Amino acid sequence: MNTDTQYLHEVAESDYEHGWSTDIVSDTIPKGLNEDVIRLISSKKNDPDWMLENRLRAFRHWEKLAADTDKYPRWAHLQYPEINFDEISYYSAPGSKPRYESLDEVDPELIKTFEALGIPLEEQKVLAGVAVDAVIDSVSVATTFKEELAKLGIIFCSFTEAIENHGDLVRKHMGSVVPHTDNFYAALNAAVFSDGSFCYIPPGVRCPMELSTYFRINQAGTGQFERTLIVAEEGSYVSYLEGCTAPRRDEHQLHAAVVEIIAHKDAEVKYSTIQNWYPGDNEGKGGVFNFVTKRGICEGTGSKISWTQLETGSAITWKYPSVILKGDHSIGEFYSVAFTKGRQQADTGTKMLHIGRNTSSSIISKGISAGRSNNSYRGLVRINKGAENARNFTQCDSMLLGDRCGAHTFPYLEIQNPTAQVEHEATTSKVGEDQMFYCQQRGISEQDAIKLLVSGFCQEILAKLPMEFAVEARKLLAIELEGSVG
Amino acid sequence: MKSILEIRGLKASVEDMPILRGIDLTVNAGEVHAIMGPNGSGKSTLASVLAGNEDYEVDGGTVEYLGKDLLEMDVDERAREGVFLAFQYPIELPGVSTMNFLKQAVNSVREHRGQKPLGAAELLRLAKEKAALIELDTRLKQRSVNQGFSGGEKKRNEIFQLAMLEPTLAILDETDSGLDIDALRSVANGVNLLRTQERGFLIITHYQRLLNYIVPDFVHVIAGGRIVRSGDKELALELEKRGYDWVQEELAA
Amino acid sequence: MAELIDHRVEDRFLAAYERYQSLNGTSEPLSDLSKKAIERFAEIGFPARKNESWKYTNITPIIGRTYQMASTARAATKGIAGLTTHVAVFINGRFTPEASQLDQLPPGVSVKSLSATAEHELVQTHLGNYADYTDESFTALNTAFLKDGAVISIESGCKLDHPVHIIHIVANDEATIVQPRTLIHAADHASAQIIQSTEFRGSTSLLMNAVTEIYVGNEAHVDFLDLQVGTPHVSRITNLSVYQKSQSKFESDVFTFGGELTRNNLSILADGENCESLLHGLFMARGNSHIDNNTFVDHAKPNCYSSEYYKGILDHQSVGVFNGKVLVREDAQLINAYQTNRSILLSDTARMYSKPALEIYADDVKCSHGATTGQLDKDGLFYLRSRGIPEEEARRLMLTSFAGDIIEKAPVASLHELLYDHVECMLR
Repeated sequence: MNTDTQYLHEVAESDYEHGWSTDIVSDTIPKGLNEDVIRLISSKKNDPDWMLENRLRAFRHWEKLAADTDKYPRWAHLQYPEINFDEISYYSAPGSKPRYESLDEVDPELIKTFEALGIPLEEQKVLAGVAVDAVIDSVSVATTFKEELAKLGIIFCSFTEAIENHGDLVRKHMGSVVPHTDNFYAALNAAVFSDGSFCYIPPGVRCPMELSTYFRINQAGTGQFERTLIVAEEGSYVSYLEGCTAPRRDEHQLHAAVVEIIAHKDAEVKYSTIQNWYPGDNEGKGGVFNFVTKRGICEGTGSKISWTQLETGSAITWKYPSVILKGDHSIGEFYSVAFTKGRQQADTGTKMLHIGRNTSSSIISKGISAGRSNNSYRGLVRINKGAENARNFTQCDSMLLGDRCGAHTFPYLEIQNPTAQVEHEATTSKVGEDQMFYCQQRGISEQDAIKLLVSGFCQEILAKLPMEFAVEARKLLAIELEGSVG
Repeated sequence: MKSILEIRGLKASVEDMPILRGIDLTVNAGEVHAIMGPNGSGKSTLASVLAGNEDYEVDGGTVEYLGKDLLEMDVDERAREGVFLAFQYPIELPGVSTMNFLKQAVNSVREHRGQKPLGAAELLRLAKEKAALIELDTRLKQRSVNQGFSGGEKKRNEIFQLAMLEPTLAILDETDSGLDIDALRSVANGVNLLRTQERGFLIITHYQRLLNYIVPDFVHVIAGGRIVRSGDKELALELEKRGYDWVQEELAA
Repeated sequence: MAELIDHRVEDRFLAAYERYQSLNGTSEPLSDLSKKAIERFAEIGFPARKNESWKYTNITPIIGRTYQMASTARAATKGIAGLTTHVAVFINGRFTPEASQLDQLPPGVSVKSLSATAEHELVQTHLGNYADYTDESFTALNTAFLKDGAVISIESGCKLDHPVHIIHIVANDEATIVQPRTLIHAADHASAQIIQSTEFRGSTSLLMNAVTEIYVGNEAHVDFLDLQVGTPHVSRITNLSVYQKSQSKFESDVFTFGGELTRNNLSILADGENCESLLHGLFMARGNSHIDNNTFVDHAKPNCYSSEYYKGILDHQSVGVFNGKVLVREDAQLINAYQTNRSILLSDTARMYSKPALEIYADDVKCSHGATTGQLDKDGLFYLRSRGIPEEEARRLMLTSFAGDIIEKAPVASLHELLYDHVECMLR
């Protein structure tokens, strides 16, 4: 029992691997948020007028929300100090020159950053066949494979480029799934976002490779506010990967992203995330506040959106990747592993909104809490009045590693149609004693047995990640579970 | 002959209920001992105590294993020292792949013995060889440990692990229970192939049936937490004929 | 906007309190508690929808009406036929010994009026101690207007031979609010079964705001069965607060059939080791009924077991809510807690909101919950019809057996038939 606790302490205290920062010249605007800042960001981004209008509209809305602290979102099972929005710089770009024509122009330090992060931007990735869009602080620095994809009519570029070159597409879809009025952080993002990724898959095209974006917050005192917009036209398919890291900083950093997905008739979008933002130290000092709005709409008949996530980072995670099942026969999926340790707090889950007929959704959530962390699943399943024959299956399993952490489950089931079949199951337990005994009887040490069993607990979800990503996810999880020794 | 296990006056209880009331038993290298007895006599408790299951409280006595105090060791330490328990009810480990599990187990044991850890390829080769020994469906290796296995498959998997880990003392806890005749035969076959001059076996069983296939050197009958009779394989046959009541009646008389 | 209206509603209750106090005077032992409660009510007001535990229940239309405080009245009751019980009758919340039958109570068991026992140590120690008036608006309101109620005491080691049946009779000519209060004290090793039911004699709208506190001593055992048969003009808020000591057992069975709006708050604090807590509920609604079951099991000590099972059948435009929370506190190890909610919607317009929640701060626990909502099992229906049973009949049979799961759990077997009658009545 004692060695058990000891190991769990080690787990809880193990280090953050990506906690360094890169010494690169960056263009960071002064802290604070007001209309001038919005205009400044907009001018730095060379926004067209409509985009500036969008930003201002969003900002005015956010101002109204921010003026009344009663309107701050506080319903989540999270405790954190009030964020002072005037203490954040809302724009930071690496280098004074915001965009690069080729990798050669990129600051070599930056390339090193990506390499250290395990993101081989060049040869290895060519072999691996992954197209990468990397967003550091607020600006997209490199997009590989653009040309190969362009031959198929696939657009995969930074949000800034998309506004410039595909303005109509962006204008049509941006904010259609997550309007700026959706919530506090969505409003903030719509006002100050500086870059992100845009992805468009034309009708009938199966994207031949995984598209991937890596996000990193580098500059101190900055927030990151990126947007991702994915449009999958009729009969298309894309698998999209997203990874995040941030350096170790003593102060909290704010990340408020928005992801929108639109899946038309028979289209399928698979969105996978490995979130490893800096979680703060064991006393809760520093760490990223991760307030993210991710939502997809299954617009067309037979469309499918699938979210898979491994959440190990951030001091605070507030994130509910959701699916609006509007098209008949559409499918929504949410598969999640959330691991918290130290003083981390995660409140994550999904919303499945069934509107069309014969829609179905699956939710599998695995939460693991260690140290003094709190890990909550919060999920809504709503079957609307007209959603005939809707199906939902939800399974939430929580595991506690240690007796000073919390694991919570808050499902909301709102059923307004009698033909619905909705099933929710949840369990909370610790690592099985009989399983531990079995492993140890085979000579496996207590620590290794815990790791083995916890990985097994998550296996079902990790197996849903694309191959290469799954390997990375397993490694990350193993590191997270590893004691600080060695 | 080299002694592997020396049990002297072993007493153990579960939730304050005494189960073992003084067991004395010596197992030498190369010997196969069968432990028989009626339900509730304490035979499975003996297996659990030897393996180090913390649900059981040791109240007295000593267990010497290769000259060391076995009761002082942790569960995994015992295993690395070469004590293997084939579980009566093997545990399912959802999501834990059999090969990964084996790799960790085999290399933990090897490391302890000062051997080089096996790489993936070597391990696979070894696994293939050992699986053939007990006619284990190789597809099972690709699944999670014991998950969705039939009763027979689970038991074969136990013997397969025995073969992989090459223990000095192998304890089989009612490995024959719930097996059909074909599975019984192949499990027994596997065990016979694993009998060596260096290894000792403690085979716990309720029925004589298994002993038709694995011929023991010694048979002990446990009743009421004590070994009440010891003999050779003839004792097992006599038990088969006369039932456990015979031993208990004789004891009472 | 909304807040303005809310304030006005609350002000009405505050004004009523002033009038009530000057009219009735204050009986000294209770007035302190009553004063604290109204002050607290003035602070917290009625719960708004953004209050998580009231998310699916809008009480504005109910509290917005003008009510009279219930006054004394005369009435009689025959009780429930075929049930051997000790009957305690309350008319408009006031204990009425002449209508009750309590002469056969075994030694060590007493049923008394709260106003007569207000100064007793038992009441002073326990009343208001478990029902939280600092956080629950309706409990605060009930406590503020506290005048009378029932005090049931089962002394150490005593056992009730038959259940005590609390019958509330509400007789009103105009819109009325009635606020019954019950304190049940089962001392160590005591055991008792309590049944509660209500008879409505008026036909104008009625708001019943009942608070029941139950203390279950060490190794004591209490079953509390609440039979709630409503009519469309009856709204009911109940607050049942239970405190359990070591090795005690408590079971709640609540049956709700119809009514305008029903909100049942049930909270259990298992404050000793080896407690067992069972929570069973059946709710059936039709028309515009709204039934909200809000439960909270607080495991403060290790080695306890709780099991919760609620089922609902909803027809027409009715709404069902199940809001269940299990809390396992830090160091409350070895808890087994289970929670299940199953509901069936019978019409296109019925709705069900289910929110089973687990909040766990100890690692060596086994907790689970499950919730399903759907239609009748089609295979079962087909099977019955293939045996020649007409569809309507087959549906009723299946629904009855669905409800029967909960009925069969109810501890007073002689009540089962009556409960089945109510189910049938709701399915007609």
